[in-house]
Amino acid sequence: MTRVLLIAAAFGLLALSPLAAWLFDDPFLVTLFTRVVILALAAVALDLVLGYGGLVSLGHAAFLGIGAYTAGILASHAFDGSAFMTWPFEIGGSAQALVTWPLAMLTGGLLAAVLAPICLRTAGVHFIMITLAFAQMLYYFFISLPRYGGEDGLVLFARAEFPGLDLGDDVTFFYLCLILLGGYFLLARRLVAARLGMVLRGAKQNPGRMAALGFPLRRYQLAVYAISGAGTALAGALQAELDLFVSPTLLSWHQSGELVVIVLLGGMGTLIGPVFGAAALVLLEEVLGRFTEHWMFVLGPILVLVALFSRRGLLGWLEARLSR
Amino acid sequence: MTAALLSVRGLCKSFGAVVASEAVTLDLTAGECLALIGPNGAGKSTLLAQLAGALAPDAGQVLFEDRDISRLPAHARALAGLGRTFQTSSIFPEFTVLQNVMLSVQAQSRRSFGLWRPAGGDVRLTAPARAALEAVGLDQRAGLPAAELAHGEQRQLELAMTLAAEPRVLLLDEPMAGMAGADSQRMIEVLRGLKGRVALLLVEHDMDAVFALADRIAVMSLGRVIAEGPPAAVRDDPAVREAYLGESEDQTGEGEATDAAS
Repeated sequence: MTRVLLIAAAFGLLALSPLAAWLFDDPFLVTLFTRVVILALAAVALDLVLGYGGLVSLGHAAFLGIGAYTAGILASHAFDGSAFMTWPFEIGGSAQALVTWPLAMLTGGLLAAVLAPICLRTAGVHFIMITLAFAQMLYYFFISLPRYGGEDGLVLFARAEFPGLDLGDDVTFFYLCLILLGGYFLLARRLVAARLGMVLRGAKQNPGRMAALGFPLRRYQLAVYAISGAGTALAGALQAELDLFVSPTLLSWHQSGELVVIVLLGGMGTLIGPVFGAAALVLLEEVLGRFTEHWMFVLGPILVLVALFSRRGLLGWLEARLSR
Repeated sequence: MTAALLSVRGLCKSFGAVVASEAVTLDLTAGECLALIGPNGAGKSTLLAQLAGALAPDAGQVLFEDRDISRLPAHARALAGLGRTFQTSSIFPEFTVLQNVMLSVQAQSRRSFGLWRPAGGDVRLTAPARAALEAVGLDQRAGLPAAELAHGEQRQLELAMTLAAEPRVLLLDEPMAGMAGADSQRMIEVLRGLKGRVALLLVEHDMDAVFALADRIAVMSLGRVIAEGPPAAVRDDPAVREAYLGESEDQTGEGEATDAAS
């Protein structure tokens, strides 16, 4: 019950957050909250594999990056009218969100489905290392593509077009991102309670028993990994639209680490926890960053405290307080 | 003699210099209970692990209904009708008792890609799961997290999970281990109820249980089957008395590694 209340509170507060920009007369706040929503989307997707599947993926930046580059590359070709590829058939760019965003999800999902059979052969620390390694490979792949900006990144000239909406308007874009987060969150929440989710959670608790019961585990883990990769890639595409810039740092291992930190800080295995985690991290960075550029110095101890005193992060702490 | 349901042919397995299975040959016919006994380290658990597919044999064959399943992975054997319980309770501690058994039903249904409908409200899962819990006498505990069950109850839950899969062969690795008198008596009753319907391969140290249940007994020592036959004959076999039965309990475990791969 408390959980449902906190979900309503999280989405309610986010829905009202543009009011803060209006109250403080600071339009930048809308951009800030859009960042919260986008990071939350990526973190919810990561929580599926990390919190429910027990698979510590330290390579989710790969999906964030592939999503951003998919949307960014298509947009840049649309802008200069060139073709993305001409053989065996011609594929041009696109500035339509309804084309580029689903394609971003598709590439993210496909990338996950290709990597998963290799990664899932390992477990524990080796899984962490192999996901990290693949993300690093992708990072170096993209910074070696001068056509798409190389190390400097790829600049976009306008947000994608969306039928009936002007995404150039920051508030409109914010609400569209929030709706997408809501949709993905709902899907994820249904998934973890459905049959696929039961297999995922069972495999985390006792993989040997799952095999003895008759589950070919890897194919189910692969499916969830792909769903997670697709969600993270969508977040990447949205991040590219928000910044009008695709930075290769989206693919860096710092970014993967930040996503894991958000999930742990918010409360892993809760889905809504990562939404709180994303808000906490972005706002902390913003507030502390105004006083010192060494804001990480303060964030570190906070993370240690959360890790020490709450098994389920901020959400666990909130739930404990509310149910008292 | 009827054709064997599960047939083990010349199974060999060693771990370095330790020979865990040496040309083990056994037959299990439909509905019978074959007890597999022997001192610790005789290779009983290793044999079960090879039958269940958790360990690959070095040589030899496992036939299930005349089909060679030696190369099938564990999950495929489970779906084919080969159930298994573990020596130490192997359950899902974070799930409720009912959810544990539902997962077993779900595995047999082979429909696990459901993304949307909650598994918890699906009677195709809950009804068979409740029936299996009732069969082992755990139906009153269905809503409890499995981690909160007492040791004996966890063993009952293990059995319920295995039964819910409706196996035709059940590999039981010390189902009575660590159970108090009343609990183990109840377990014997449950297993007795299965005889005739399910073929049981029972690895057990509790001799009361073995003699209460077994139609035949096979005795293993140092990776080999040294005797096999009706309980009375095995009890009187001089080789068996020397290797196992005749010795006092505290000598049975000497000089051997513990059973591998349990």
